[in-house]
Amino acid sequence: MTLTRNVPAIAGLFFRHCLRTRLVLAVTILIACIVLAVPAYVDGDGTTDGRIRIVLFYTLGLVSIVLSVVSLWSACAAIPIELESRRLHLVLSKPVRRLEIWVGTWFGLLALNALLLAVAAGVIYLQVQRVLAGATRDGGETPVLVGRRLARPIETVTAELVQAEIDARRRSGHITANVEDRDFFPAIEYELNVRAGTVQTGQTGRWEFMLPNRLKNNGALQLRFKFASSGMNDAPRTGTWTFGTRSEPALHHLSGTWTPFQYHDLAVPMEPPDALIVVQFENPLLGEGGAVIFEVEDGIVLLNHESGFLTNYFRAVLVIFLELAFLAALGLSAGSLFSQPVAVFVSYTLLMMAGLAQYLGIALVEDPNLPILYDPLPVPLINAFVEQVARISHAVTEPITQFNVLSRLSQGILVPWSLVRNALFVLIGGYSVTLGIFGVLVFHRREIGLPRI
Amino acid sequence: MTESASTTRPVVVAHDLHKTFKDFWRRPKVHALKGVDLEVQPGEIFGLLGPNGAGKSTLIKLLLGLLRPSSGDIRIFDQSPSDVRSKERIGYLPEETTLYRYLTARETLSFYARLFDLDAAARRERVDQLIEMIGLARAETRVVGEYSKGMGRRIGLAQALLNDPELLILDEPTSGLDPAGRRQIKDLIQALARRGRTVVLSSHLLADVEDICDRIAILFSGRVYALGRTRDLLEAEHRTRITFPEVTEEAMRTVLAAIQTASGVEPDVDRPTVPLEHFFLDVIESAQQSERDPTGATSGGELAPFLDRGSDHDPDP
Repeated sequence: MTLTRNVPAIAGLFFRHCLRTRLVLAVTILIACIVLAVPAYVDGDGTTDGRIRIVLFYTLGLVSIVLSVVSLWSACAAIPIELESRRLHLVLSKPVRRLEIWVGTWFGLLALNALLLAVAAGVIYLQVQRVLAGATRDGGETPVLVGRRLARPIETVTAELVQAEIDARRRSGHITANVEDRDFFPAIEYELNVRAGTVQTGQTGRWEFMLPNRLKNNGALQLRFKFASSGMNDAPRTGTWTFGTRSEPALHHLSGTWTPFQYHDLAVPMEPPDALIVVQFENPLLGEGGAVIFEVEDGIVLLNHESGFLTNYFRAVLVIFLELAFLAALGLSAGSLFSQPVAVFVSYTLLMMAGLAQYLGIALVEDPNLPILYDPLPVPLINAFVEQVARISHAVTEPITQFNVLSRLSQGILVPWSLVRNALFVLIGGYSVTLGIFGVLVFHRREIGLPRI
Repeated sequence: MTESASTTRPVVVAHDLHKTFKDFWRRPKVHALKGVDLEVQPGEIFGLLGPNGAGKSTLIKLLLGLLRPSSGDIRIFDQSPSDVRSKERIGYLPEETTLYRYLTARETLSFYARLFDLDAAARRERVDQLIEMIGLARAETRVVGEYSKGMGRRIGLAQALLNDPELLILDEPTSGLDPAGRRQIKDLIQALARRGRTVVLSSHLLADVEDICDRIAILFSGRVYALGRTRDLLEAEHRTRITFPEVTEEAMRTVLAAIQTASGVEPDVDRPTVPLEHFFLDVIESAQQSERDPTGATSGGELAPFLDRGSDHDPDP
């Protein structure tokens, strides 16, 4: 089987070649600059948590961007440079299939990415430990450095509720007869969600959480919340949290003062119940400030500890590595067909189009009637075509965008193994293999050593 | 070429081979080969000659499966050149030796050796022997980016021999080499042919081709204009040359008179000269004996032992 013989040889050659061309050294220096500079210049909210979040979110994020560029660029260059230098002629005169060259080069890129990412992740981890060591001396807490499973409140804004609201507004004349329900549905749904997350002064907001089994079995729960004050007032707000069950919703109380626009973590003073848990927030009449508005997406969540930071960090880095592997496959496939500059251009254009498709596609999914073109062409067929392209592009690119581990990691939220498995299945088993098949087919059909005409 | 070899199937067969290069819009632009027919028999040294643009390189790329014919047929060992199994039996030296600049000579050869079905011990042994054979033992730890063109050619040749190929395809094998290196390469090619290997060689250096090729094909503008045994093609018709040791003036007059009587024309008389290559090599050989620490490639050793298989027979007279 020549595959097992040739692929490691070609991967090893590519890796060694990259090492000796000082690419690794240059990228390592760049990463070191990022790792050292970002925490020094970005303070966050001044707390230990904030500093660690900065290190994890911005530093690891920037490093991921740099490595993505390096991975894509190297992949785009790998085959064209071999072709232009004619080294590939020599390799192809040996008993080597083009499939093996493609796969070997891809594995070489993976090894390069693994090395660079390992170095970067190691340095960032040390940086986190350094921040943590300083905080320990100050007696600070580090709720970010865990992997906690998350539960969101049961949605109270149902489709029936939204429809009822639309009907009520029609009756009251706020919506005219010539406008269809679906035109207003997303806006009213959002409005109701905001209303559900708003606690007026002197009132109590209520949220119910259905705890998954894993959450129940893992012991103590934590409440994480983030809110805004009406009038964008950033003065700290006082209030009382109560925790309980449906029958006894106010079993435990926690009063305090919290700053708006920041994440806050509270230990829930009760064992996780078998059924659902009820969480309430009382916005007192006394004191300054008006309504308290909890964010629709992440305003209130329940968390509980499931893994330590190191394992959570490891899983997050694994997901980033799989994303880099996907980019390497994309670049390599483009390089199988085009020269290096064209391959780079095509790859970045595809990524930009994917981002645009996401934007347009999300807009279309959330609001089916949204005009794709603000100034639509007078030809309905073209408009329909553009809309279909946006829908298909959204469907194709949507699975890739579900692996944002940075926000999870920087908030101490669990990066579960299931996410790593999904990333492996989607990014490698799905997209990279598909790109690989395309790249190998194109490379296989390509004639080598053509004269420049 | 041995008699036994000539009775076996040809190593290379090209039949009505056409290759047309097209532009981006698939419009035909260059007809590089126009109906090439040729066969290369086992054990022979076959020379491809022609000016620039004649189609030699295109033919070699077709032999290697890098390009596909527009029409016609080309076979190596009765297989398609795109079949990787045929590559197990081929060695190729490209016109320009393009190696990985940051690898040493040993690493370069080890990498190419790994692409063949050889165990680690055999790979090591062959790499050792080839480095010794091409005379780069002193420079084996230097990266090839630091090598001179000639040293790079030697590495290129070594990588072509790693698999002990049955067919060697050499594109300008002696370009960039000093006369000693050229002589060494030519001796090596002849030694390999004597041991049954087939060599297809493309060169602009006509003296080299004349020296070593059993048969040649001359291409021009994609067509074969001359094909046959080198000696047959170069033989001057209706001319005879007699060479003998120096004789007295009297004896010479007698011989010339006899020839003139027999043929009716006055023969030309001159003194044969030693080829410049031989003279140069003699000078260098004596210089090497006086130089203790020469730089660059040394002259290299004998044929690598792993290549020294098969019966050593003289080429056809």
